[in-house]
Amino acid sequence: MIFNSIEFVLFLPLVFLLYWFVFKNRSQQNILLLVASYFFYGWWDWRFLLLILFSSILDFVIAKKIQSNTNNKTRKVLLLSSLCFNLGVLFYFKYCNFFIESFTNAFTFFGQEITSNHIDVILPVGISFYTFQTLSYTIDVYKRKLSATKDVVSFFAFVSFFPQLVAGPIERATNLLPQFLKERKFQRTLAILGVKLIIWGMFKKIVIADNTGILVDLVYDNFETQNQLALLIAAVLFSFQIYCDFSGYSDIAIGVSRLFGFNLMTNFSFPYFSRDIAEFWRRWHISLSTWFRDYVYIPLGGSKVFKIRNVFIVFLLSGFWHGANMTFIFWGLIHAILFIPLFITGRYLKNKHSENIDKINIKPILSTILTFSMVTLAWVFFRAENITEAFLFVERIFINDFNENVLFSSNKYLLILLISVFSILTLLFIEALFYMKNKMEVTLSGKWLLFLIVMIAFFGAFKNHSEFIYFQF
Amino acid sequence: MRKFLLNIIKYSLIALLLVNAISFLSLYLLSKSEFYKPSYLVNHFNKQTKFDYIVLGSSRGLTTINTNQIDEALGTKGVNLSIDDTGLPTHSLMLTHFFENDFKTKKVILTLDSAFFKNKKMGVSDNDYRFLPFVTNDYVRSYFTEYENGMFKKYSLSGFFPFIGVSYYNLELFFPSLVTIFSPQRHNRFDDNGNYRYPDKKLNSIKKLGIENTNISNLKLLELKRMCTSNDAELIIYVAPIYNTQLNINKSLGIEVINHTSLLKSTDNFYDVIHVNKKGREIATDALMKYIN
Repeated sequence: MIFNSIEFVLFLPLVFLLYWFVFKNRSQQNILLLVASYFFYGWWDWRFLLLILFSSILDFVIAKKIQSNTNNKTRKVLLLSSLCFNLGVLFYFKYCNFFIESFTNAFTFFGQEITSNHIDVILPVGISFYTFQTLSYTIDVYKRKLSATKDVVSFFAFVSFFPQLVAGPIERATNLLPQFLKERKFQRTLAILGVKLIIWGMFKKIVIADNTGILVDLVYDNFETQNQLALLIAAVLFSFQIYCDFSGYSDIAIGVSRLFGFNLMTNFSFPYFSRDIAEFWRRWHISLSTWFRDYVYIPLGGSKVFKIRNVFIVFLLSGFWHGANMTFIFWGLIHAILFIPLFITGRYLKNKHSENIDKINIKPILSTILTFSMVTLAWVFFRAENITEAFLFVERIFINDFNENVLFSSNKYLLILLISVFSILTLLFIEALFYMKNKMEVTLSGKWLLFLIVMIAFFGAFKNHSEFIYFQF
Repeated sequence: MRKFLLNIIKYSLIALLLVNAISFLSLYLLSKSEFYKPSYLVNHFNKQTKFDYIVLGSSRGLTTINTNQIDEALGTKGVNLSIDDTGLPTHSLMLTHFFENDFKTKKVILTLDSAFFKNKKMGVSDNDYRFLPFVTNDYVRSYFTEYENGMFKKYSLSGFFPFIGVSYYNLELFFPSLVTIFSPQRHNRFDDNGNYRYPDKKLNSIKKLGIENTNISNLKLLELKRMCTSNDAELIIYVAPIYNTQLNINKSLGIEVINHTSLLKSTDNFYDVIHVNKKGREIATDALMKYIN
């Protein structure tokens, strides 16, 4: 089930009413959330519920054993078995074919022709998200940051919590699990903030991401014959498509959670206003970058030993997390290359606080534009089918003899382009207001919300809507 | 909680009212314009206009028959009411729309695609949103009720909540309605008599001649025939040229058929396999004239 569907419009109010009016105590509410979450996920493909169920059982049992065991060696073996199972499942479904293909290509490169068979598997939606979430639990129990829970329903509901199950934010057990274990009272202010975020997220997804997506696909599918302007527009539009698609989902997830009395972590905080790449990574997919910081970067030695190597590994893993394709790894590599100079010179925390912004100073504006340009360039690699195509795309932005611009080829595409530009400007205007006030998220007034609803109704791409991009990760 | 729910209900109602009001206005503007064929028919011609013939059909009717050419040659009055990407149910709706608005015609040339020769489960077409400005009319509403399938019936629901149709087809309805404020006489890709032709391109592919024997047995056609008869009109089925295809139609429910599938042989006359180009259109229209005269 996806957020921008009729099914969800019926599902959400029903679960909300049952949650607050029928199932009034904590354990009943957790059971309801668990059933609703499994229903939500099973709507896509019920067979993969078994994976979540098995992963939940395993981590529940292992964490309890880690907690009760005092022998460090046994604790480590238990942790490793959880890591092996969770990452093994992830590897099988997501990366197996990639490694088979890479292996075959490597042999072919050295003159040895070998044949290989691909595994015919469907990638379970959201597998990377819930795997990382369950891992955080076991690791935190191992590190004694968190006590293993005895409440099986709460734990299962934590793993499968439907608002953030398939595309995050990747919640830490230390933040989300305790919320399942305590009584929840309806908080009107929190619920109102939730509704506001849902509308804001819907605007980003339905109006911006889905409209820009039509044009981006159009150009990328025919990029060999498109002129420089078309390629440049598509590259910029993709930056907004992926941002609005992913952050839109996060906003809706956070908003929906608030309706049920849960507070999820902020996942995006105006990343395109960043003045350098370091700031961008403090504002983009925060739940993933902090996950890698806490569970990869710091255990590797953090900034104490081999710090550049550690940064490199984190960025490459971050790219690889997105999918089994060299394009994602290359995308991570570009970010690493852009980040490391700031890291070495100690300038990576320079723009940590947005209080430093001088409203009329041109320098931060230029820095923002430069950072956005670099991020956009990296997105070309993320979006392209393969590395060769990505390089060709970038090359053709600068050197190109073609005259075709598919975006200007019909009134329909021109209209979608106008809608996209207008809605992106609306987004930037609203975000700028909140960024300047050093806020973490957008909270709009009633009039603005009505304006957005009208925009969603008449500018939204309902007929040509697309799935959330991050579902594939 | 109570206050929260009341707020949600209040804002939802305001939003619903607002978007429905805008959508209603949008559909009203379109209904008073000539942008799409259904509104073009009622706003371009005076009520009770008597035509010598009308052309119904999909893109093949739209691009094959040139009523300007016929009317110039024969001194007749005709109009092409074909809509691309539509099927027999839409042609039937257009005919109902025609008669319900007090227009008269002597002949109805129905360009029938072979997909509708036989009885089959029929549904709404991609371009039926063009009838949404008239969704409050009983015959349009009952058409959507009869033919719309699936859980989410956007056309049928638009009769009660116009925003559903207008939002879903925003590029096709909302934005054109803004254009009609400044240019109500503007047509969406058809001329003053409802005609349109494809760019003058020549078909490249060569395929072997295919010969097929078939019957026309779709009972929906009898309904159309009855409608024509009760309005003193004659229904004629026209099967437009198809590149290197010969359909031999043996039976046709007693309805006259003009079978021009194999009229044009050369690729010079085709835009693609099922659509003629400018040259093919001239020849095909010329061949049709004797049936209208």
